[in-house]
Amino acid sequence: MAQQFGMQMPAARKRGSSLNVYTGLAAAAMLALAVACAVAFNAASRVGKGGSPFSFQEKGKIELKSR
Amino acid sequence: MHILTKVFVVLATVLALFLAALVVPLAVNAGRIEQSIADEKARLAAAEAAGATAQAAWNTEKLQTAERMQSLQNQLSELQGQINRLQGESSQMLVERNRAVADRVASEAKIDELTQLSKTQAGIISGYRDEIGKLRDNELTYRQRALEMEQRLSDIESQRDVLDQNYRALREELAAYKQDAAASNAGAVSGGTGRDQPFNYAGALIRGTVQEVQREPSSGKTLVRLSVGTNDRVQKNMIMRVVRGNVYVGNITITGVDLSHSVGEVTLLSQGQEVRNGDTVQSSLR
Repeated sequence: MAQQFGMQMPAARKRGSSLNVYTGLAAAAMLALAVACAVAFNAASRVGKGGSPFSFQEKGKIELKSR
Repeated sequence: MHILTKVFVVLATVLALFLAALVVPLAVNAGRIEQSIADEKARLAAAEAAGATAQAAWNTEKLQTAERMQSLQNQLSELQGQINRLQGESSQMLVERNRAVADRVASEAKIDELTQLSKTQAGIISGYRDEIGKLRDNELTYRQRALEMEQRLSDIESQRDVLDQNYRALREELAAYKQDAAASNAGAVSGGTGRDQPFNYAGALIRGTVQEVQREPSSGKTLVRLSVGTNDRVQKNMIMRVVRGNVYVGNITITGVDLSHSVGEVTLLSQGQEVRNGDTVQSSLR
């Protein structure tokens, strides 16, 4: 739609994107998520069956990875 | 939007998805682990309770064991005391046994000594026995001789008694003869002279009993047998008086005389009386 109306409106021409706070926020969010993933991965590895973070423990048969 | 922003957003999205994928098993596992921990805690509590019970039982058993040990210790001490006492008694008995053995040895020595002594004494006793045998034989011989001497002596004494009696009888006869002679010279007669007529015996009292009474049917005489004879100075024609207690029964005249008995005839009877066996006869009524 912007291409459709770009020839007519003065603001329809392409503008160049720039780094803004949202980029920073996204970066911070990504970093926080990365850290959270790392912590969660570590924690899940600790409590996961055989050290695997995505495996489920069986009820009554908890197998933890020995340190 | 800057490309970097887009990249960051995409990455953030991917990381969020990844995080979500991590969080789910994490939560599930955490819950299960929590559950397991709770179960373990419950088991632990039960085990602790069982352990406490076992501990209490063990304490009780320990107390009982301690008490048993104490009692066994006491028994042991008591037995030890008994053992000591028995050992003391045993040593005492050993001492007594040794003493008894020594006594036995001494007794055996004494027995040997006494055996020798008894043998010696047996020899002495056999010598005494032989001597006693000889002495007894001699004594027998002497006693036989003594018996013979006594027999001879008694024979001689009997002869002497007889001679004495004869002498006495002769003296009495002589005295009676003198009396009769004096009486006949003076003109008085005392019942007859000599043995041909019944006479009263003037000497010592002669006493006997009636042994038998017999009636002669032909002559009607009553004959009696008396327990006295010539040994008692009874003579023929002597007049004997028959008494029964203090009652005078009658007179008997001697018709026949023997050494130890005599026969007489009843010559006089008191009124209402008769001579019976067992009546007393005497030469006079004094």
